[in-house]
Amino acid sequence: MNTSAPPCAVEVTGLSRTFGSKLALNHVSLQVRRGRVFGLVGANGAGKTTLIQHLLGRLKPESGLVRVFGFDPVEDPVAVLSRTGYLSENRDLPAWMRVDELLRYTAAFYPKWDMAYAEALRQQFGLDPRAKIRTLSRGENAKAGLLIALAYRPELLLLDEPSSGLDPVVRRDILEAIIRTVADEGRTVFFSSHLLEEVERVADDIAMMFNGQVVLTGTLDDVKESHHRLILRFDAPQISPPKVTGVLSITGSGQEWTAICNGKREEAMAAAARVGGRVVAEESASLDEIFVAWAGAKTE
Amino acid sequence: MGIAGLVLAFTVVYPKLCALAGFDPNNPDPLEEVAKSSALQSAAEPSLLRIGQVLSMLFLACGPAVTMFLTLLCVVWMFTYTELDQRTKDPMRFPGRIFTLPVSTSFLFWWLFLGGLAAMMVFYASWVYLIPQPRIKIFGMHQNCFGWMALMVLAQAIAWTLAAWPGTRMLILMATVFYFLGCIDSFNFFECPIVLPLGAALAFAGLQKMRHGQWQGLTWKWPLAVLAACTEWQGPKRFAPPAQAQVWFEWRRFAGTFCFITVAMALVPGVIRLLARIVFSLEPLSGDMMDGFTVFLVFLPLFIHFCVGASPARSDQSFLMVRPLTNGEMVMPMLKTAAISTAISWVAVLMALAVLNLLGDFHKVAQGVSPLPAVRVAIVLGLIFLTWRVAVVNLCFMLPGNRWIATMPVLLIIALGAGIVVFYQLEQYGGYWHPLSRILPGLLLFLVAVKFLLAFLSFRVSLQRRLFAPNDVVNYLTIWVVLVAALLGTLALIHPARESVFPLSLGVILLVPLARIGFCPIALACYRHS
Amino acid sequence: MQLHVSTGDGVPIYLQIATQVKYLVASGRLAPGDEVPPIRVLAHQLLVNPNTVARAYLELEREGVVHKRHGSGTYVSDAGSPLARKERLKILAERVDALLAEARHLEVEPQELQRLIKERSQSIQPKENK
Repeated sequence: MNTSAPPCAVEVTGLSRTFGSKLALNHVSLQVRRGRVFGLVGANGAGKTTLIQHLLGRLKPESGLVRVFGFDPVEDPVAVLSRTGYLSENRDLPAWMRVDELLRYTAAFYPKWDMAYAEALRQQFGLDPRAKIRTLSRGENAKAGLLIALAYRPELLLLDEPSSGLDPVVRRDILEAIIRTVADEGRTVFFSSHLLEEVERVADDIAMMFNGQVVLTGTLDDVKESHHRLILRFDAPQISPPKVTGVLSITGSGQEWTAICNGKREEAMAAAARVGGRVVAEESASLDEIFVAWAGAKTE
Repeated sequence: MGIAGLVLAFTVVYPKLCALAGFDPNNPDPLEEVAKSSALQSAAEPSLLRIGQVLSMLFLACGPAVTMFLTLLCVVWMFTYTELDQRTKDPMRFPGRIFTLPVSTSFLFWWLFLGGLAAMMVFYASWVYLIPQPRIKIFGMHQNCFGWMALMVLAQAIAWTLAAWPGTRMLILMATVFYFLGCIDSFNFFECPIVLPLGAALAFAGLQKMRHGQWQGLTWKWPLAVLAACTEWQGPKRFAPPAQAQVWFEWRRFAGTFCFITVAMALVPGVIRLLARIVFSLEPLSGDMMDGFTVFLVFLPLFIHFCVGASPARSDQSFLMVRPLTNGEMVMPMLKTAAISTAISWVAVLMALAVLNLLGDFHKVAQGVSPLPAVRVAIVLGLIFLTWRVAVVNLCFMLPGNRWIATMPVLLIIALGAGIVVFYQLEQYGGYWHPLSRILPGLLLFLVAVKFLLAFLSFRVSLQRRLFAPNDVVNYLTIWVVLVAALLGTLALIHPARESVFPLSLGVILLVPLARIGFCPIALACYRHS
Repeated sequence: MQLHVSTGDGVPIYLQIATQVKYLVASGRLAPGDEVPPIRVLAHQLLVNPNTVARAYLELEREGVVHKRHGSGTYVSDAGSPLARKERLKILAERVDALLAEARHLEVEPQELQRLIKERSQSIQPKENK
């Protein structure tokens, strides 16, 4: 047991996991520092939910290490879960409970539960305390789940695709909750999403996953600065995408083509010159474009 | 397919079994014969073998009829064409995707209606004509195909017209089925010629309305709200210790509903019949009815608690798995709520027995069970313990959430039945009883030792992995010791022979669950950290 | 203070915030001495990470557009300070660059562009005098 607080809220080292013949996670390593917002980005089926399930102890690693605040979620579930607030993608709140019963029940397990804060959140979210959870709409269900994850101010907030299938109003509430959490001293947020605009707005660090592997990890600013969008102009119209080494992906038609490159700017520009193109503009790429470029590169 | 297989199996195996048992199915009164053969042995002390013998005779006598009923009920259910809906957990939802196919409602209806009638006739005929069934009076009332067909059509009508009110529908359906099965009076409502066409018309209307989403949105306001309020225990304003919150959760999730069903099923028929008797001045119930009713009341909590304990819904708890609770803290409230539910159910059953006393000659029934009041009390106490046991003992199989392990309880029951048949076979080779009675104590002692060893191992592993708090372990061991002592005291009430005291006490020790409870947190860990 | 951030066009969010604040100061909608919202409040309002807002404010402070007063918040700097003036010119310089690039695409000579600017400024001025 650590006497001093570990600098990382979550440490995953070499995590691998298979389901039958499918390799869901392939030597995944990442670190989530305290007091920061970590965004996990990936396509559907990339392994984001599997990774989060490992952090909660719902899945056992086949190889590798998972530590949340220095504790192993499988050996010491109580230590991890009492510090973690979790909003699942499946919204598996018990359908037979009422909202007020849900609050009372959950409050019993967390000594740091703040009744006044929970009540304020409930009113802000507009949840009827006497309503049964099975009668709640999808957005209200998500809000109820978020409520019980926030009310005891956990040190780590784990959100698994929090905005999936929700209207913009609810999505704003969720983003507000994330920001409020991290603005409080030392609390950490880890969320997975494929809505890249949201990740770009609130994340400090990101990791990108494809087919169970982490292809990219670092602070959001570093990732964005290292990727460039080059607009290339060719003298002759190209029929098929020109082969330019050093770029992740290239799209366009005719004489103007857009290439996304990762860090190797000079190499890409030289290679473009070799195939007869010149760089007419250079901008920083958005996270959306970076993601699509990597997706394209990974499927080749 | 399964039903056809069962019919075939019975056709082939049953006559052979009867021949082996020296049991003549064509005897006009098979139950009388069973009673006679058991009366011959009642002079001797009740022992396992005799009980086994009687049970196997009962199985041979009633087995075919019971299995026939079960299979025909299965056909009825199949042709309502409903299935369990994963999303809303509605046990009888008509698959909406059928309505998106380019078929008219009439086509659907006639297909299900005629198909159901045809299947019913085929299976009924095969049961009745292929297998020589013993003619038992109680079951005789149902040897009528038309009644079964009417039941099928009524079931379809209820399932389809009340699709918008699943709770009400289930209640009415259960009531209809029980009325059908329990109706022993000479007047069989189901054989009335108008029931079939009326049911068919209702079913068609229901299917039509279901297709177009009509007949929805009306809700029962106050009666169901009152009922719901009765079953829901709200709990205190603020749950102080987490254990209390978890007991509340377990109660509301499972035990409360099943307890309510048990209490309702125990009390309502008796009270209704009593009121009917007072209002309409009906004569008291016949001896057979009293017997049947007593058996129903006494085995009701046992059956329902077995269903709770072996329910597959036990393992659908991902919300619970991310609460900061140890596995032991999740298992103990399951045991507590099972005990509370047992207590309440049996209070209701005893009250219902008191009501039964007012309906007919209960004294004769009681004498039929046993002439000694002490033995009757012992039987009741034994059954109360058994009710708690069946609710709790199968938890370690249901908790891992694994489909194959979850079939263990059913397999164990089948094994029990097979063991009884084997016992009966051995009876043919007389003279085996004495060597068996000599090794029996040794065998039981060995089993008890294995039980203690497994319990020790399981508790040790649970404690090492901090799945079970030491406090909880000590609490459970205390409860175990108290239960064993109470049961041994109950045993003393029936004054068994000196040489069977030791095996019987060992049997008692084997019955009280210890190792299986010890394995529960480990089983839960398999589900929690898969 | 009404700011608008958008993701997806590649410009980092902190830069968008900083640029918009500079523009507000330059256009006079934020007067010298006005308080800019605290980091937490602005982060909440825009739904962005507080660290991003902090970085934007740091950038603005470095360029002298705003300054922090001990304990009582962040305020817009004096207009007369040479750094602020430099900032304003820098904003306009960026716009001029964009204008020149577009003129080159449309094949308009720089002299023609200058004539256009004079023309437009003369046509606006009489309107202001009215």
